[in-house]
Amino acid sequence: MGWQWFHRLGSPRWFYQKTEAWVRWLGWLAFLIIAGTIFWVMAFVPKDYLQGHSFRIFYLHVPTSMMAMGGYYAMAISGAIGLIWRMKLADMSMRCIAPMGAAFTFLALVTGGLWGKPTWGTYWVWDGRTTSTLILFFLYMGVVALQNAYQNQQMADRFSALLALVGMVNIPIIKWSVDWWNTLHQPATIKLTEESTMHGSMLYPLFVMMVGFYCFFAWALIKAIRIEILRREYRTDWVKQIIAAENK
Amino acid sequence: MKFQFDSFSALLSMEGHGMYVWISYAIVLIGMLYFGFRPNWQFKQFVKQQKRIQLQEQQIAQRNKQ
Repeated sequence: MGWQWFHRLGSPRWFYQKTEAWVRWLGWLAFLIIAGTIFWVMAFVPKDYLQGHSFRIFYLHVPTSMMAMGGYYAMAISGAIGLIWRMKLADMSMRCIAPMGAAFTFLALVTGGLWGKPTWGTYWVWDGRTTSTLILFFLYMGVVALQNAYQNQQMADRFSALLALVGMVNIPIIKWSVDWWNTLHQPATIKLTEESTMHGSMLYPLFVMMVGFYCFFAWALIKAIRIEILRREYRTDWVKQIIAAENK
Repeated sequence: MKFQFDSFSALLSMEGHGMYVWISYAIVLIGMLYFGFRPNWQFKQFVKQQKRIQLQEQQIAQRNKQ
């Protein structure tokens, strides 16, 4: 067996056919988890003793921020795989992650602002975490812009992968910004090595919501990659067959 | 687990924080729905476009024969 699965993954046709079934159940899974958790958060999670009900935004702010950062990792790794092994599917996934990552970064900033107004008294502050997240948004937009700046798809893939890799410098800055600069944004509540400072009744819905967001990201990304595959492989017989089947 | 609000209006207002909370949830959900279902729309566009190209190619081929 060995590396066979990795080579298979490089085949857009194999990926397209294999993911047909995945897409359906992933979508339903994401929907059920997220809808259920929103109900849980809105109805049963107690309000924060200091922040009151605005704390409920936390259950969107943290998952969207995680998708923003995780998406960047995924985009940069895809870009690196595309650069090193010239794997078509990696280039396609990089292209598809960029707009989604930009959207999640934007949503993290917006939910942060809407949470900041009642708790900090302001929508925006130029502190380490918010500023480095804004830079992350610009990096994503840079990748999107580069992808659309070239007629030649290969050139677009190469240059945007390079920008994605250079931008990786920003990720540890975002991560540790709350420890380096002691400003308005609170430090991490959930740590891998220490016990969390949150009560279980508030913490468990967050974990479930994160799982839901991961399922959503995987679902939306696979769907976007499937379209990108069709666009790039439109000359192949198997794509022509799909189009012919749709025409009927 | 205990229901946290006395009434539906209390759930909506959330002691004055309702606007921030509900707008956050609305924006995030709209964004997610857009990215979740954009591929469905793109697929239809793609098929339509390819159909048009195939038709044009057929017409050119026919003209060349004549």
